[in-house]
Amino acid sequence: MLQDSLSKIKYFLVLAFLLVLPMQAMAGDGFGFDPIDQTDTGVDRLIYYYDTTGRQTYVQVTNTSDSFVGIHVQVFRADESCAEDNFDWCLTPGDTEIWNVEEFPGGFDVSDSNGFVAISVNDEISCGFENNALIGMFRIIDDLGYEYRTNAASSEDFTAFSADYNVLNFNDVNGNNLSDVVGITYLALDIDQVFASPLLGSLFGFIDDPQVLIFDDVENINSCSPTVFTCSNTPGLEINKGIDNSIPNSQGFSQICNTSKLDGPVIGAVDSGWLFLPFIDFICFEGDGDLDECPSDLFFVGFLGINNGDGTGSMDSWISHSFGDFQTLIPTLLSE
Amino acid sequence: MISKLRFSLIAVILLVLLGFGFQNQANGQAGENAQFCPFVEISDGWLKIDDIIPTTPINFTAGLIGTVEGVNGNVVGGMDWMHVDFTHFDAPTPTNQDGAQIVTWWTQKEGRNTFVQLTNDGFDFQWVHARILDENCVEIRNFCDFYTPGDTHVYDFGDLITNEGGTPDDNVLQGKEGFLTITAVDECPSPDQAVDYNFLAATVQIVDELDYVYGYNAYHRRAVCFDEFFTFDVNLILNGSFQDGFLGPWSLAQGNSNNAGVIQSSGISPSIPVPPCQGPDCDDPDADLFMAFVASDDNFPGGSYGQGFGPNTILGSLADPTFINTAVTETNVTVIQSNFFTPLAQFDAINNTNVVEYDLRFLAANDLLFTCDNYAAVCLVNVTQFVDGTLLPVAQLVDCDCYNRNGNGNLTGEQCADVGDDNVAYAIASHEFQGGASSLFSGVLSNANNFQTYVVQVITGQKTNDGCFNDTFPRADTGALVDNFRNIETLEDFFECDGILTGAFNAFLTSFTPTQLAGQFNVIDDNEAGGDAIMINFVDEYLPEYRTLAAFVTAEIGIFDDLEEFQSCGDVLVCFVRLGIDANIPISEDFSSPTPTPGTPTPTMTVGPSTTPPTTTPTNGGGGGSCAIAGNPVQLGTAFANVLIPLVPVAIAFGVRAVRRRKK
Repeated sequence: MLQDSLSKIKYFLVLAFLLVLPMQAMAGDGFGFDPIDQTDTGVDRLIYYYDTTGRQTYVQVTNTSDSFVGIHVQVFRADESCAEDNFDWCLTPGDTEIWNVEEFPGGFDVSDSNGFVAISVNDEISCGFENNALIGMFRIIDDLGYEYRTNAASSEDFTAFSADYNVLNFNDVNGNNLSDVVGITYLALDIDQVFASPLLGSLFGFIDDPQVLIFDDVENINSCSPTVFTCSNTPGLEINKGIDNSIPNSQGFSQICNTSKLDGPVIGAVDSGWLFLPFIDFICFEGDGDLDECPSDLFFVGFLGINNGDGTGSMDSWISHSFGDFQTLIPTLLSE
Repeated sequence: MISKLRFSLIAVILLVLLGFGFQNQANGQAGENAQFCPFVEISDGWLKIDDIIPTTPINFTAGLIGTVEGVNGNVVGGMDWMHVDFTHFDAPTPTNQDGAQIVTWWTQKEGRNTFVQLTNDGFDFQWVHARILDENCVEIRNFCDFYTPGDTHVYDFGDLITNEGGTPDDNVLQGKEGFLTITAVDECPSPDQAVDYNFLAATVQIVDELDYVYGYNAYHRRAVCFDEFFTFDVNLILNGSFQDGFLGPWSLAQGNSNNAGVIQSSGISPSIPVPPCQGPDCDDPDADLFMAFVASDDNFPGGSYGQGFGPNTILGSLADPTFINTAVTETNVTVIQSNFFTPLAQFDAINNTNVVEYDLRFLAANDLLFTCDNYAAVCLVNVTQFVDGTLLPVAQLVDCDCYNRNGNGNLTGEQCADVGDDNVAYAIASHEFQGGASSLFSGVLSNANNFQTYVVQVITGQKTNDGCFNDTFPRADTGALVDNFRNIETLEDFFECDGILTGAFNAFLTSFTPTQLAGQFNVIDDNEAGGDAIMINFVDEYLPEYRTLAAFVTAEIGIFDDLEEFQSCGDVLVCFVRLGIDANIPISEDFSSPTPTPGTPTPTMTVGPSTTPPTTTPTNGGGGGSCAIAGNPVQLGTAFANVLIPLVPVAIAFGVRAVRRRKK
């Protein structure tokens, strides 16, 4: 049933790109608010990507305060239509916990899976509560011998600027030829829990302005189709995508662009490029695949990993740009 | 028997408590063995760098933490920025948002190669200037580069080629490390000033010869550039408090020059204090020193108000032989007149009070035998027609206040005020005001409408009644002391930021000066591991060109394990430093094994301190750091713990032997 809905969603996405969303933009609204990811200070909610398909994932969370802090840990499996498992935990002052996601308390099966983990402060268990005390990081160690490591992110820092567009640098340093472009969309239900679903997504790029663009290091620019990230592995709606054909997705998921930017002319010894991903809005569907109005507390977190499939790799959050009060649309460029 | 057993038990307990109690204190000094926490054996925990206090001016403090270990026969590693207690209001997410300057660690030490990818994600052509500092926080290389809109380029520190194709000499970088900034500048190499261009996005990859990568976003500092508007008040009536010490630009519009002037308090006898200054003129140091006098005196005869002036003059158009509208004509009138002023005519004016305020003290004629209607008046006169080109201009009395001793007469519909006097005879030069002086009055004239032109006049006059213009006893000299004339206008101006960052409050790169850093780490399954924990500190110098300079901080180092046990590791004084985390995660140079060795024994405490803790700066044996890693010696815990703890099994054995002997 859900797969049928997802197929229908892809059909409606085309219509949405052509009709509905540009009309919303012309009405003067339709650009959602997507706070830039916070990975630098203590927060109340942390988002981690995990992947156990040929990989091990370890998440670490630390309570930096002098108080007890209760947390609610949720695991969303994108490969299983975003099915959720969860448990509560109490962090003592200064406590740090490191979990292999396949060995979470509760014993739920997260093997050969990918998705995300949300850790939120929880004031409803007998522990304690303190704001902005949580910091986190995760390690994804691939069986091919490389590691992705980065700080976990929070996307609910309202002192943050809006991410109007995102800058994803990529290159073939040390032979990089694979990528993991991760986009996590979730709904903040309450202070202590989130919700995610294949029916909630984040849209980047229009068919018209502003488009997804991909650059090489001699400023050859191509436009790419709009792309949506949801909590699923359905082609076109994946939580994890590749950049383009020259640096495709590590796990075989689809590419955002149909170019081969790292196969072009090389300046110096290293080839490079970057992906311009303008955030448009959140996009939501009903169970039958029809477009639906999105709830107000949707958030997005993005991670980018690149690796050489052999021994080296690295990951960090997307870098974003904010126009502040101003919005400038990028003119339409060549199609891919 | 029982007492021996009890003794053993007590000894064991005491040894345990003392030994491990001391162990919770510093086990060594931060920096020793090229580790932040030497002799501490924690594989899973977090490093806390606390109480960061700058000892020099500073604009940036940040830390990185990374580890490397062998997993399933592969060497894997990763790094990211340490968490902070606060960032900056204008840049709350500096590692995930582009900016006008990027900051990162770089290293070409120990077989590593650094790659920095810089993207211009904006719409302008842009110069940048890279400044590369070594571990002593000394700049050892810098170069300019230029980016077109949407341009991206990777700097390979082992073979440096700029985006423009230049080849700055990179030999000086090999075998060294430190930190670098790349700053958007107006033009490079000159004038090379930092600019407001928040479109630089950078990622860093440091490739180790053991085939692992530390990869992370650079730190991004946003430029803040804004115009700050401010307002200030001006007095449109020039020399309104006569602070210049003379009458001008007020003019003697009618009367003898002896009848008006500027005096100090001693210029009248007995002296009368100058009214306290009011209004914007009070910043002048002489604002409370002077006041003006105006007098009518038959010794210096003259006509009635406006008498003898042509019809196309201000006075002539207002001429009136009975100015204050009593039946008796007037004589010996004296008039002083202010400059022309027009409320809200200035382009930067945003408000005007539309009133004229002043202070006045009436000087009365002798009233021993009778009182006169001799008067003093202050008038707001509309003279717009005299400036707008009207062919036959006419002035208009808008609002007047008049003062005398009978209360007779009126001006602009208001009765003159009987202001009283103190019956003291005053003299200003040859003028004698034998009736006395009134108290001090503050008056307000309205309305001075916007975009109309006005003058203020102070008028004194005598009536032609017998004795009211007499210059023999009783003298009929009449006058006024006046001061603090003001029509207040508010103007707006602004501190401008023209895009060049000067370090001023409205033109700067966001500073990041946290007081705490927190770096998480973990090791999988007790693998052999190495680590790099880095601190970077610097200060900006904006003019005449932007430069990155060394800055130093002190900080207290501590470490938590995964059982929330905290250990203090002493403190440091650093500009740049790279160290391992602790004994379980030593500096990465000491990591060489790609796989864990089966059966490797867990390290044990040795009897006695393994080293004598230093009190001076340790050498950089395998570590990286600026010249100063020094702190307070906290070594007692190490010594006692190392002695007492190993004695615990001895004490237990002693007690067991005692029990066995008893059983026998």
